Amino acid sequence: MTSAPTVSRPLVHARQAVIGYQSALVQPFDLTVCTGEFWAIIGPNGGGKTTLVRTLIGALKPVSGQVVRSPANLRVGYVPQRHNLQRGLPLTAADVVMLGRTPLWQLGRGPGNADRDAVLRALDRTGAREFAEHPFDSLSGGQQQRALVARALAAEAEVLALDEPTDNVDLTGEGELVELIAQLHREGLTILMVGHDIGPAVHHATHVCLVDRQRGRITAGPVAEVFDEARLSEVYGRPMSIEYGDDCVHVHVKGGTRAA
Amino acid sequence: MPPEPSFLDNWAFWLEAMVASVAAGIGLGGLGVWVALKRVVYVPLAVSQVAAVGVVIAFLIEEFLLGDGESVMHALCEPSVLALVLAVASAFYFARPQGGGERATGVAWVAGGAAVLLLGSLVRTDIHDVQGILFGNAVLVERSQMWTTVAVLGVVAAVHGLWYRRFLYVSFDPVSAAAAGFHVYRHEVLLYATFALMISAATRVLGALPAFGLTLLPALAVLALRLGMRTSVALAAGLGGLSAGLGYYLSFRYDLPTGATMVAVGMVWLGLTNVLARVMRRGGRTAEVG
Repeated sequence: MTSAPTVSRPLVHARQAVIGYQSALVQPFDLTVCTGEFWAIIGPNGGGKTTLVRTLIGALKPVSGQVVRSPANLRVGYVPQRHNLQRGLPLTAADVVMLGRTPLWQLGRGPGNADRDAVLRALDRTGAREFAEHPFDSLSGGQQQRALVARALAAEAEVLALDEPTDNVDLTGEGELVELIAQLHREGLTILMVGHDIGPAVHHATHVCLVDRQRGRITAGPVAEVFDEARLSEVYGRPMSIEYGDDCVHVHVKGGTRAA
Repeated sequence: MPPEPSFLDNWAFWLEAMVASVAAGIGLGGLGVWVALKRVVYVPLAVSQVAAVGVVIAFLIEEFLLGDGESVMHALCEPSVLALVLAVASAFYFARPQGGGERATGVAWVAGGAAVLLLGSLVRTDIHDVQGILFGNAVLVERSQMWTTVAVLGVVAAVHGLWYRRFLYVSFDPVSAAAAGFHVYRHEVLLYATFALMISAATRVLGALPAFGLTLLPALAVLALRLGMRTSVALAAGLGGLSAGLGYYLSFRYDLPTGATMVAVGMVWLGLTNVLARVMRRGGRTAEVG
């Protein structure tokens, strides 16, 4: 696990927030995300992890309570689950990265030299330069995720939020992607990462957010305080064990196979 | 015996129709790329049906509320104006997350059709007159219709010139766009409003079949080539205008049904670009992307 920078300021603050689309998914909760933190948002499938991260970044309004971003125009780069993207648009990877610059432009403006430079830097930083001119739809899962991370970097995001970024990515691509996200965190980017694979999500995290829809509860805090076998077992409804390796975290279902 | 007057000799007859048709073709062709990529190809048909409700309502207002005469209210409640207003209002419906889906589109089409018949039974005007007002035939176009179509094309082009990047962002990844501070629904409403404006204006001068055909065929023809987004929109607009203009000329020259000829020209582009795309793929060439 990596350590966050010592001096930090709050970026996102949820106060008695209730998440959901029309009705509440969980009870009100408080949560503060500070600069340089790496939050792993975990929990069973369909539990509300995506709803939580979308609410924190401002794509969804909370059902009640408040989610305050500081500054109000906090730049957030979001890497969605890929099935949420409109397929078939004739865009190259570089076009997708350039879309990240759109919020920085006034109405009717297009890209200038500074924007092109920012896109090239983001492509280089994510290792996406080699397939920059390929159609986005033709890229592998891992390459698409790299392009989407590059889009967030091109947007000069202070917070990078990723929704199950390793979903449908092969093992090699998954390892490279997680290492890229960890590297960006080491360079100072604040990360919110939703993951159904607990191990990869938590391995580099400084904080964990456990979404337990069944009990209507969100438990959030530093990894050392929140991420333990008893809580995991309660949330997932099965006895779980955690095993820390040199460069990975394994979570097992006791008496069964590895959960993640 | 004097020689038969040429097409050019008859310019006074076809000028308004030709200009309006080409303007409609350009607008529909360009917008068709968005319609095809957003997979809402039946929305144009539903919009035409909703616009028809506006025409019937205009008749009802005139008969039961305003009576004969000339006033600002009469001008505002003109059948063409209300058709345009209702078509644009339908953008609020189609822009919802599932609004452009096939079920919602089907509901709009069926409800619009039923409303036209039900409300139409209350007015003295024959339903065929209603259809006549709403659906043109591209042969006889009044000067005011021509200018309306050109003005609508100008408005649509201006909106897309200003909002192009945001439309693209919101269409590709609405959640990220929302997180970046864009109001997704408002942008979708604006985009669908441009569809509705252009489609209802074009239907008025061309008729439903060519308006639908010119929305769909040039766009699909260009998308087969796998070009970049801007290039696709520009090329489809060009092919749309060319289909309308060439279709009008051929129908005049060979005495063919005008709308169907425009559609047939659109089909030719679709066939040609599909053959071209296949040849390029076989040749191992990568089409321009970007």
